[in-house]
Amino acid sequence: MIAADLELTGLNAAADQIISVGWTLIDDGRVRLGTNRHVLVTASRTVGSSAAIHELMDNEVAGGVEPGEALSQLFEAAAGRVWVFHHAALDVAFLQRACREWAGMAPPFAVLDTMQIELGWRKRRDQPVKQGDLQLSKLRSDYHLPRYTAHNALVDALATAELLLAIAARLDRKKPLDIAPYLRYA
Amino acid sequence: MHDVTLATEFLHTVPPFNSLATNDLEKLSRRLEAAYYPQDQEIFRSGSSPGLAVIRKGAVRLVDPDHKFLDKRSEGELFGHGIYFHGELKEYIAEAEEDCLLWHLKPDDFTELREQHPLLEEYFSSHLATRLRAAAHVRDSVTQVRDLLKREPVRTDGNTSIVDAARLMSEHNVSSVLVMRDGVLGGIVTDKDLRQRVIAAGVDPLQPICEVMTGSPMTLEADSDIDAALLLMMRENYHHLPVIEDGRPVGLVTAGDILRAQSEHPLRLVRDIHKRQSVDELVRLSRRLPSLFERMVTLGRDVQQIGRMVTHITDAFTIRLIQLAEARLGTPPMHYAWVVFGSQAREEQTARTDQDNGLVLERKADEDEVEYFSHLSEFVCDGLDKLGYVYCPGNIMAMNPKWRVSLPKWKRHFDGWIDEPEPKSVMHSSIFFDMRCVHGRRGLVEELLKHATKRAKTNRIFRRFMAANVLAHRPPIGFFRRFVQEDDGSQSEGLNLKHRGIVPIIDLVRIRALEAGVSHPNTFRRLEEVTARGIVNKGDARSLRDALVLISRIRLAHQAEQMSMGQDPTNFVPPDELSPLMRRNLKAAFMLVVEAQNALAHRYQVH
Repeated sequence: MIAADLELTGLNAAADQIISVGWTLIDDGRVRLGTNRHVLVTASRTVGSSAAIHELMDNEVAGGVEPGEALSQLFEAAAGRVWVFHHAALDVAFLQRACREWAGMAPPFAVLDTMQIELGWRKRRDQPVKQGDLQLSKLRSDYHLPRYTAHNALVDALATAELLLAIAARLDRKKPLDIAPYLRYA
Repeated sequence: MHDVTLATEFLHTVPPFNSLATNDLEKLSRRLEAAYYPQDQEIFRSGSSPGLAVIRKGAVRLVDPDHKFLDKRSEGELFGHGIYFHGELKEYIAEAEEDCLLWHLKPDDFTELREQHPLLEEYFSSHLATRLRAAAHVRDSVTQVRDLLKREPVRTDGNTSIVDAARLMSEHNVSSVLVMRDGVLGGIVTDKDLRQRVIAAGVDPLQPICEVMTGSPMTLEADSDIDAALLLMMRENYHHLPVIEDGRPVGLVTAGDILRAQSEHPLRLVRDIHKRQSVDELVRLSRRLPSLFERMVTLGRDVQQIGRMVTHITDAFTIRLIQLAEARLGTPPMHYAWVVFGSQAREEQTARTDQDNGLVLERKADEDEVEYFSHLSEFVCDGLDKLGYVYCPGNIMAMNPKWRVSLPKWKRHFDGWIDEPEPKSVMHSSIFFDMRCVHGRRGLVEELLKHATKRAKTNRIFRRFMAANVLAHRPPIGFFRRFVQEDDGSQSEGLNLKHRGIVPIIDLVRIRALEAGVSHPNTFRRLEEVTARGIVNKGDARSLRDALVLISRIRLAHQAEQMSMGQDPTNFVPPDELSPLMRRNLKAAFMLVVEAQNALAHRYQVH
């Protein structure tokens, strides 16, 4: 599995851009810290019009690689792996668009979405779900995972990976967990 | 943000990894694998060679193959390697006490890491006592003369002319110069010497400097204790002393350097105590004690030294009160000795404690004499109470007529305790065998102790009773967050370092001292003497000493912190306020105490 997270200039997959990509690999139920990667992406045009905020961002982004390079590193790491996201819809939409822009087509995604798995689990138990209950940091605290104060694509990818382990441990104590029922395809 | 910053930041707080350089920590971090274990899940069984695990979050329970509790570990602690439980390397099973996030290091990677870092190899593999020794010998802050040295000493050859030597001193802006002869220190010349021995004496400044130097000057070794250095300088009236290391001068210290290093020196307080004329004045002076104590601890003086100094001050207050009483009541009608017991006798006092004292009279007192000593002891005990050395709750005080008796009566007391040991007499023995004279006729106390020690030495049954009493107080087998894990599986809140760690060691050493006929009350001194007499082997003595130093140091630091926050110092530490390193050292220290207790149990056949 590969747990990944994107940092974006906005939430609109049609117009906004990927600023950075972070990922880590999970093998045999363990997050391998040596596979952690954080790749900054150079924007093809200026990040946005709100100059005050984005001046800083442009500078930060300037240290990155071309989007094509970032994507090829990411997909090389992801080869043959199931994707893990927290709230996959957004990240998948951005990755699909980026792939289409740079390769003319997008590959199929097999995805585990920690947010959806948790939501399903709660619904099956008729537990009410309030706004914010399914946020990454809230869920991590529910599962007694450490609180990460820093936030970037890598930290959130790691945070998602650890959350998946915690959720999997609750779903089924048998190892390895049969993930088939939880897989979604995009 | 780096790829493993999150991990390295955490490892920086985890001993022993905190001793690694950041790039080594990064290498290590890349080998780690995070895994999650929900509450109560088994993490591994021993023997399956699981490698090392770092607890990133949560808590882990270690149990033996029969599921008997061994230890609990929490965030920032390690397991998976060979662990000593009660001083014994044991197989263990690890279970999640709470939901846990662990970082695993595979066996091969763990082995490689240990090979690459000798320090880690020592940490993970060495014998418990060796590890503890390393911890007890960490030298903190300014305690030795070498810590005061600022620069290389200015040196010149003996054949240099006086005028050139003086120029050299001006160039370096120093007030003294060391004169070398054949590579070793031959003498010293100071500004004052130039004034008195050259200018005032009309000596030709072209003469060689060795003509006017102070030859073979008194020197200090670099590792001398700064208090010893100050005492020497004050006594001999030296202002500059060369410091020697490996036979070579490495610097120069002045009395001013030392005084600055300890702006409020305990010895200064002792001097002031002796100048005070009333109890009220002494009370005002005693208000300086808390800050002085705090300073001693933060300056990092060693445990023995702090014990000696605090006791020295208590002694000074006691002696001054006795002098004031005698001045008021007139010359005592007979010889007597004011004796102290417990920590004051042992010279192991820390933050303020209650008073334990008594009087040994030369002979049986008549009515008037009883009256005199009753007034004297009341004056002193009341005074001590006002100074903050509160009345002894067990009423072991000179103002209690029971502990204000003649030498023969004291001897009979001891004989009774030793010959007919029962719980109360064993308790009395453990108090009264730590006895020291602070004022009056020392000979009376010496005779009493000689008598009692001899009797205790020959009475094995008495010592066996004492041993049984000692073994009733065992250190906790583990602790966790706010709780202490007891032998019977129950938990109690908080950790009393005095009763669970320090007293068991003191009691144990006392029995071995009685076995050897050693009457000196100080625990460290007793350990030295029992070792010298072959009663306890060197390694065991050292382990006990190190354990005592470590536990005491943690207690001192805790008390100093309480006092700095305006609280009353206690012996009570919530385990979760200790750093992981302190917890680890404390556990190791407790284990050594348990080992020593087991050896004692075996020796005296008490279980």
